[in-house]
Amino acid sequence: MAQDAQFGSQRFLTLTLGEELFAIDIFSVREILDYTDITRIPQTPEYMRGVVNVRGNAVPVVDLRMKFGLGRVERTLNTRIVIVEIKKDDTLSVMGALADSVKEVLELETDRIDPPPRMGAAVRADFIRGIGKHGDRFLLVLDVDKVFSSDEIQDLSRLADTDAEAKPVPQPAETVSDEEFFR
Amino acid sequence: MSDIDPSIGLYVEETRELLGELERGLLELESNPGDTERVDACFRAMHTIKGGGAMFGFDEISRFTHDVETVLDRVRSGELPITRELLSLTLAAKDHILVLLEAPRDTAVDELRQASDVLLAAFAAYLPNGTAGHAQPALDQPAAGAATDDNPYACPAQSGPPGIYWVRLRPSATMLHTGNDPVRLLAELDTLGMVRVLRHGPLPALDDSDYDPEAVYGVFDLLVCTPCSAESLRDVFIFVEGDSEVSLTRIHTGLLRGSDLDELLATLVGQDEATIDAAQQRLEAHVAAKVAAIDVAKKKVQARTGPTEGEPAARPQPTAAATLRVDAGRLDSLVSMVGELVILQSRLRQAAKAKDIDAVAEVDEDLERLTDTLRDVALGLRMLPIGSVFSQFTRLTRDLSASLGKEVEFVAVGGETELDKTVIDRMKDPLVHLLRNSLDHGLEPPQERLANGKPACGRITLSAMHSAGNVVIVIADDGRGIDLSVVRRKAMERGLIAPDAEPTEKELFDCIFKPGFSTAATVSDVSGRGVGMDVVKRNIEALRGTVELESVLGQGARVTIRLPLTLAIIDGFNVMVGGDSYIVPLANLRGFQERFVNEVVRTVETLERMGELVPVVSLRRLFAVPGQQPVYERVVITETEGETVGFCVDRVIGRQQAVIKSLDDCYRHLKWISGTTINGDGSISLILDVPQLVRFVRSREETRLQATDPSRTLVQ
Amino acid sequence: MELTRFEDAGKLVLAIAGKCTVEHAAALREGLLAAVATDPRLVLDISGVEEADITFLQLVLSTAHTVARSGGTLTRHGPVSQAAISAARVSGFTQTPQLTTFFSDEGRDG
Repeated sequence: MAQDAQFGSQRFLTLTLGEELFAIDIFSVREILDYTDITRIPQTPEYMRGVVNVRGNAVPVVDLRMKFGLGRVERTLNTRIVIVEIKKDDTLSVMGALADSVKEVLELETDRIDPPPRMGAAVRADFIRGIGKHGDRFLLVLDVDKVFSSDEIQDLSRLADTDAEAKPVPQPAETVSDEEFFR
Repeated sequence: MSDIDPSIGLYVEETRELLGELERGLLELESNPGDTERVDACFRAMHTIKGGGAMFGFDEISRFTHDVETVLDRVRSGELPITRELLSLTLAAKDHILVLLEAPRDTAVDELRQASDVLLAAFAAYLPNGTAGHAQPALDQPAAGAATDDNPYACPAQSGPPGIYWVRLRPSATMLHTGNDPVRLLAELDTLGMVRVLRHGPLPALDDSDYDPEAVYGVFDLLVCTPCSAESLRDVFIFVEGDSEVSLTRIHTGLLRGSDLDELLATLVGQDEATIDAAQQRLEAHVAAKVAAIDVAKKKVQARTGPTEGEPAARPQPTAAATLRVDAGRLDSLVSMVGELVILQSRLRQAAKAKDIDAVAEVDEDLERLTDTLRDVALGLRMLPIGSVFSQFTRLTRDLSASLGKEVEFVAVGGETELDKTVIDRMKDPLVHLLRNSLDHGLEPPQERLANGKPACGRITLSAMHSAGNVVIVIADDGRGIDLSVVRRKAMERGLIAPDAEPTEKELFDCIFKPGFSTAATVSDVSGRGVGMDVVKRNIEALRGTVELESVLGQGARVTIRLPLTLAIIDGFNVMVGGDSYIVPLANLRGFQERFVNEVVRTVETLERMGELVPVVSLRRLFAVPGQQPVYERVVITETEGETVGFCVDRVIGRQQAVIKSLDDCYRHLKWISGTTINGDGSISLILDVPQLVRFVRSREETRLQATDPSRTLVQ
Repeated sequence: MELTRFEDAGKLVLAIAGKCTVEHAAALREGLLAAVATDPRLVLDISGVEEADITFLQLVLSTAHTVARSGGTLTRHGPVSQAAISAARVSGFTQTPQLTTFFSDEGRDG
């Protein structure tokens, strides 16, 4: 990626969330699926819509609109699940991103991608790599690794315990990892 | 990285296995020094390690093992007696070879060589006079020289990886008349590499009038694993090529183990009349299967030995072998089933072309049967005898008991019991911990034992067996046992039981597994390591197993571990709540009941079952399942750790064998899901981890009750 | 080559010694035939074999077949000589099913 940044242009997949236009580095995208039934996983934040079967594996699906606070992706003919590969530590992990629609693949001059504004954008600044312009439209270029980072998901999962009956249960403090015990 | 010779990885792997065998052999010699077969086996292992060391550039191993081998050879020939000192020294040598093997090459060479020299100096005492000088202190020697001097084969080594050649020699009947003898030719070939020979084909009966004592009969099929070139092999047969049939084919580039060569050669048994082409095809098919089977494993080894040519890395810890030995029979059936699969596929294509629905249905039936078998066989590939781990414990107990000044007889039974490789790997540490416990705290010192009328030598038994779809591992000792009054005092001090409680024996034993039951200075824990039995328990539970402790004061203690055979498949019932689908593992299932709901449902209520009130949990409420609360619900009764809990669901779909797919790491906080499974229709079910779920519900309830109504609670 | 017959534990032992090569193959066959005819549970002593070629190994194998035909296994008296074992090992005779027990304990490389 660093290399691309130095030389000319990069290719992006554009997708819509509500009225906003977003872009994802095409190299992160593995495939694009039509909407299928998502298996709900209880006690997860609402934007974690659940898992879908992608060739025999249960792949988590994130509702990007909810994640960004832009409402909720409703099922329409245009709804798509974009399967992305993200790096977590050293391992490659596969996640699905639920989007209202997927538009096109386009090329952006790297030097035309500006750093994100500190505030005022539709989405939290640290999810955004930059803002690009295509024709007369602005695109928010997503930082895929950040958007799907599991820390992010974990943190929010604790805040977002939706159960009305009890307070979120504090996780018993991990004493010491088992591996360390056995060294 | 990609140009690293994978055969090095295989050498590392084979040597690791040989070292394991060596250690087992040495330990057995300790109790039975007269076992000449063991001595031989130890010698052979050392010999093979040395030869391979030279061949694959492990010069230091080759140099070091030379004298050790000589000493073992003297023991073998009866020149030296087996003594405890010699065995200890050889065990130390074994450890050292492992260090040399695992050490990144070209790093800390001097240090390792010094370590070698210290041991060699000790071995020198066992060498015949005057020969002790072979292993010159290595530091003076140019490192590169050692390898060529020690090249074990009588040909200039080729660059590049060694190859495996198939040689077929069909000597002419009159070969001896020209002054040639197949035995001599084969003896010459034997000097050129690792050779396996199959002699087959006709031979007349002794009293057959056709028997010509001066004729040569039969066919020799040889597999030669060698760094030498094909030409140098062919040169052996240069004088007989005119009359006799000689064919030489390279069937593989790289190394295979001796045992692999044996297997390959065995496929040619009875093929003495087969044409060269047919036999070659047969061999190549088996080589391909073999290579495919070890390919994945090889990559792992390769990755680990990666730093050998790159930048020096930190010295790696000896790791569990990443490769898997697979029974040849299982592999064969797998290969033949893949063949069947190919046939089915072509049948399916024909049926589809002809739009013949009946034929398709037939294929579907056959495919179902095949898939079932294939799954069983594939899972069987991961099954390993647990004995591989047991043998390491023999050494552990030996060393540990010596350092503790205790005498112990360690008995391992049921080592042939097969268990999923993952389970075995992950059980090792908990077992080590339990063994150390027994040794350290269970067994008394000899004087104390004698004073109590016990034999001075303690006894620890480790056993494994199959029982009702589980593997049961028991560790038992005849030590001082666990003093429950002490356990009780500690448990109260630490607030694990109420001061006025009257806990049963079982509850007290359970306390030992609780986090917070202090680990140091208590009755049955290894002091100073900060390890709690709760960790052991958690490790075992993570494998979907259970652990129990029993003890009779003064007579010993006994830990019983039950484990599932495999982690890859779980037998359970599929249940539905609203649109959610869950799998309840059969291991936890005790039955089904029903209930009618007419008022507001709480998350936890109670239900009568066989005259007792059991807590029941509404999964619908617990999981906030959207949709209407039905009036009639099924209750799935489960039992974990002696506790019965019911879970209310909408419908019970039926029994199902679920192949477990782990859930993405981002859900790792959901401990009560042990995984997911993909159903036949492509939908996904969540597999419940019942003990974790019960724990989760209980802690929620406790949190809630602290604030509100104390009347409803899960029975503890 | 020298052939000696003696009895051990009620069984006939045929001791084969010296140079067991093609020149003596016919004589060896005669000796073996006669011995098997005398006692089908024949025991061989090959500790004195100084040289062995393919004819020797073939005759031993054929004898083993013959003994097996009457339901027995060819067994050995005394150790296997170095010459015999190395000839048998490099040519695969140690691995021939009828001879594995005959050569066992000695049939190793190293």
